[in-house]
Amino acid sequence: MLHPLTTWSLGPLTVSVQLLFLMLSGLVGLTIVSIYFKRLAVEEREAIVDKITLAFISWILVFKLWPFVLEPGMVTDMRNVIYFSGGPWAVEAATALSFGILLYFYIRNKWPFKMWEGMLVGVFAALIFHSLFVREVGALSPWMIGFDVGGETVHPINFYYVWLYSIALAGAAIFFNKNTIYGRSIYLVISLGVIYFLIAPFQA
Amino acid sequence: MIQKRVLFILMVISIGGFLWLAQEQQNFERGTMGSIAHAQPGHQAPDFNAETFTNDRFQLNGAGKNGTVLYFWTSWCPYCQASSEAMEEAYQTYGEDINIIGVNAGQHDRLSEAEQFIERNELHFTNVLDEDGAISSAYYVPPVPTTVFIDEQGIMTYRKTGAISSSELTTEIQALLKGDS
Repeated sequence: MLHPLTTWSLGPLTVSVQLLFLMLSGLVGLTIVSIYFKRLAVEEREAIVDKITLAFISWILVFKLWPFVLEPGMVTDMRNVIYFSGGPWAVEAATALSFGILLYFYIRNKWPFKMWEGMLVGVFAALIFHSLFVREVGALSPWMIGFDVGGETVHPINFYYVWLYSIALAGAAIFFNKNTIYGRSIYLVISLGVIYFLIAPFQA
Repeated sequence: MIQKRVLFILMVISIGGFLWLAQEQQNFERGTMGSIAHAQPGHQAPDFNAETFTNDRFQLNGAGKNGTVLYFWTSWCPYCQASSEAMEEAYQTYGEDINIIGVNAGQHDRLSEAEQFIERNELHFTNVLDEDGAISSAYYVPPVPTTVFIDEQGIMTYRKTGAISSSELTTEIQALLKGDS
């Protein structure tokens, strides 16, 4: 179990557990989406996965270059492209653009609704993978089971997430027929909401 | 069919269990501070007492004002160089309301070069020395620069790893001032 703020350095390159596992989780999610479409025999599988990859890369680019949108004056020194990233509304802007790209191709190419279902399954898989490896420390716990932080026991939030995401995903696989069009997607979205509601009291 | 039943029972037990645990958690938090010192947003920021570059002392807990910005830096880091101007600007604008404290990660730097860095960048905010690395270690630094925002109650609200721009700094400081971070 790794602390998200731990960093590893290899020469001049430093990578944090948080960043590394965000990228790895993205790759796991993408792989699961591809496998899922293959199992469902979705004809447009390759094209959809390509566009999801495009949306993923666009997300990173917008996030990286966002400081120049907020402060165009920074462009005068190109080193700033290396130094800065993110900032206020960067995540929201990057997510909106990525979603816009997917929505555009979904409408233009008249892709099946299964595309969104596959993406939700990929998101759950990515979240499970991330929570399995990256420690998330919650509030002080009244019980003896949890992470030890400075001699105090705190809720192991990431394990709670792994459990709930896993049974929700199992439910999507077991409760729904392969040919259901919207049911599985709606169920997964509601599950996400329920999971965050259940975990909220244990968050720091 | 059996699979469905087993999973359904598991789901009901899980939801019921988490709701019960939440109730127990609520009862528990009524009798405690409910927060531990840990260097991640949502937790109490680890306290420290350190010597400043002007031979004074700075203690995080009880530092007053509407919050604190801790800025971890080293003299050799180009990202710190890029952020220092924004940090000084923020100090000039918000220094009356917010503590802006630079922390030189001394275990990874030389004192003479750190002093030159302060002079070269004309930094007027308080900078403390972390010679034994205790503060850096408590805040999981390096990497540098790392900027940590702490509200009036000592709760960490946001953490930025890497260079921080003026707009991001301003947004987070204003959130501290409004008390809505």
